[in-house]
Amino acid sequence: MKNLLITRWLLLRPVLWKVMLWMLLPLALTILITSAVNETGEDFRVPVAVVVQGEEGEVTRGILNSLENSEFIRLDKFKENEQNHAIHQLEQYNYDSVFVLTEDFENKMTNNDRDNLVEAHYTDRSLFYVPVKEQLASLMQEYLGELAVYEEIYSLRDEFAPEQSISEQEIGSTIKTIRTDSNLLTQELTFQDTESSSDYDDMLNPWTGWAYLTIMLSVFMFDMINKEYHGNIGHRFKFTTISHKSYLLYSLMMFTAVMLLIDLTTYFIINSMFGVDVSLFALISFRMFCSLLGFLLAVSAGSPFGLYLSGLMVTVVLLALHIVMPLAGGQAVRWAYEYLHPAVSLMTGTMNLMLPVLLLIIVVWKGRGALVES
Amino acid sequence: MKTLKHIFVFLANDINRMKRKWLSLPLIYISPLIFVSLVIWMASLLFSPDEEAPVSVGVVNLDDSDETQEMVSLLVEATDVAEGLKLEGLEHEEASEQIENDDIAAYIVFPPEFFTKMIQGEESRLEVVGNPNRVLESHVVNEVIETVVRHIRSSQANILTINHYAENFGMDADQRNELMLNQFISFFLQTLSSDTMMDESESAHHMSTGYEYFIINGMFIIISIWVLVTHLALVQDVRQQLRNRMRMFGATYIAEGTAKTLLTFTVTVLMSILFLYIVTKIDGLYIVGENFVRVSVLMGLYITALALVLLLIDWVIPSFKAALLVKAAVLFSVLLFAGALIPRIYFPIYFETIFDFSFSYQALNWIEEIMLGSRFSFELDVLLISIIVLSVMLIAAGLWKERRVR
Repeated sequence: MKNLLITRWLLLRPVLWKVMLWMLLPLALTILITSAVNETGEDFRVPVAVVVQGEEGEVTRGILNSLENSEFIRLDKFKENEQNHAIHQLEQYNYDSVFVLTEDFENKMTNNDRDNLVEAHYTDRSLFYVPVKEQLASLMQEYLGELAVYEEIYSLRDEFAPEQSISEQEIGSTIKTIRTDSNLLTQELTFQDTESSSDYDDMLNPWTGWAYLTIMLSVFMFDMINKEYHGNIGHRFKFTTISHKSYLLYSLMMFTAVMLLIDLTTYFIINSMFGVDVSLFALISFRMFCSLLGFLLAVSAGSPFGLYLSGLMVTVVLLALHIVMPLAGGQAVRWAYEYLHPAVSLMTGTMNLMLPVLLLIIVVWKGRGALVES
Repeated sequence: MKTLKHIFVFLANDINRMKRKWLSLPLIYISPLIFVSLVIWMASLLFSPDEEAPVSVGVVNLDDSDETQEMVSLLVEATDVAEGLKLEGLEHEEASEQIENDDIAAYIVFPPEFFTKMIQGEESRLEVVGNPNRVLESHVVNEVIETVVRHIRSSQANILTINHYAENFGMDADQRNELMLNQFISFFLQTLSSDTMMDESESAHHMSTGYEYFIINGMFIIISIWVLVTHLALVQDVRQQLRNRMRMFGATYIAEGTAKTLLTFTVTVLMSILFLYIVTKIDGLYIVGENFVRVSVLMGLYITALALVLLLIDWVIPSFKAALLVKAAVLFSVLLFAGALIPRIYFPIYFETIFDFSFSYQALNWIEEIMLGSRFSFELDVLLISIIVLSVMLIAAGLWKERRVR
């Protein structure tokens, strides 16, 4: 064992820096990509145009301000004479949707007249028309609701305590406090007979990015094994106490052990940087999966070139399968994903069934060789 | 003359190499086709709701107060809560049984003491239980219920305010409760009938559907992947001995690169034109012969530019491993800044300049304009300038590699 370690070390030393770089690359890239996505992700917005036909009164301004402040909308305002321009821009697909506040919008709102306040225009490519419409509608509802509250409270005051005087601002601020302070109704989606998993709020879960980078790069790392398996060093093992295949398998174990150490560091760094957790058990089995996969590909690929290509291909296929996942219905399909897809297993913390399969293949591969040798 | 001869030798060599892979190549070309069409097909399902039978949704009420019962019946009767949803009142066991039988897509549970908690401002939670076999529909239902919940929430804030003042005015509890019930129902009814506020219309300038837009984007992605695949099939680690031998014959990197680019171009363009032809035939996208040529030119230039980018990476980065990683990343960003993954309008404003200089955006944008907007013109400036700049950089890189002393 000691000799093995020394051999490995001698082989590694000239390329140590390179290897270290490749080992740390998944972590570095994950941090880079996740921060970039989270940084710019909030700036991806739905472009919406609003045309104000009448004059822009207090109500209109209030509603437009709140709409502008919603976190997913980028709002452009137009006057009445620019309506054609805005619609034209929509037809050129430069806006997601256009809302025209009709001429007596302000009047109708203050008089609680709810019919035909807004003309909404959208196109065949308006992906976010419905949420924007809902947002505008609920802002208008909110305002109309407040009006009704004023009315009701004034009539109550006249009936019970005519001597008190209350201003609308006062009531308005009370509504706002109640909205923010009291426990209003919430909603939760669960699925029958399954445990609901918590979703990561930001755009990209760092662990997903890390998983795919790791699959690809750990396959890349096994080019060393590939060269040692296919190179001309096979003959030399006839003079050693250890067989060629055992030597490679020991290398696999050493590599996995080192990578597990790095993974542990990764685990703490990603956890503290982004506050997202995965189960340690899942992480360890994911690493083992990657190592075994890389080893098998390295042994079966004819050249490093083929190994790199197959690594890229496996990663792309797994990624494509993952992207399709939310669209694939059915309990059985989701079960298959959780137990067979390594990245999904990592996220859900389930035991991946591909792991024993790969182990079995390696045992067979080792056993076959032993028979031939003896 | 000598260079030309070398180019032909390299071409013949590369064609031979591709011939040797005749079995695996079609597979490699077809697999992105299958994957991308699958994703596109599912995405289009997601964004264009079918007008088939309405989705059945159960409503389970565990609160036996009159107020909630009234509210639930209002909800069930209100047909315009959401188009395409059919609500029906159910018992709890019934509902979970119906999910197991796959009769309903989801059910909503009003918890016990729903109304009392609500008017006292205590925490309560509406639960949507989805059908695990119909994940997508369950999410749609959840979204619709979210609107309803938002309505309830705003009504709730309003009646809590009224309650607050009524208490101040010294109204007694019974009276107050009745007032709040009435108020709540009226607020709730008002918010449910919010559809009349908007007059909706679809502006269609182009005679296209969103579906075709997805198809063209998908086609663009597939062609880009084909370029990468062809490129990867052609570049290989050339060993130093062979490289030296090639140099002795006076063969240059530039000759080699020209041959590779020519072959990548020819193979991908032929396949893309065939693909374009099939897509227009199957999908019924109307395209005039003249415009077919325009689209082919755009595609050809795009393919050339992309092939040059990939070759440049190949030359600048000596490690094959690293080059492969960079090539994949670059392909991704070329697609991202073509607007093929996310349409340009949703991008932050500070990315505008990148789009203005993005050759892939110009190609995709004009292909869309021609195929969906029946335009009869195009612009090529960014594409042509990119190709010229890339060629100059490639020549420089080729000369630099030639001179490098090893």
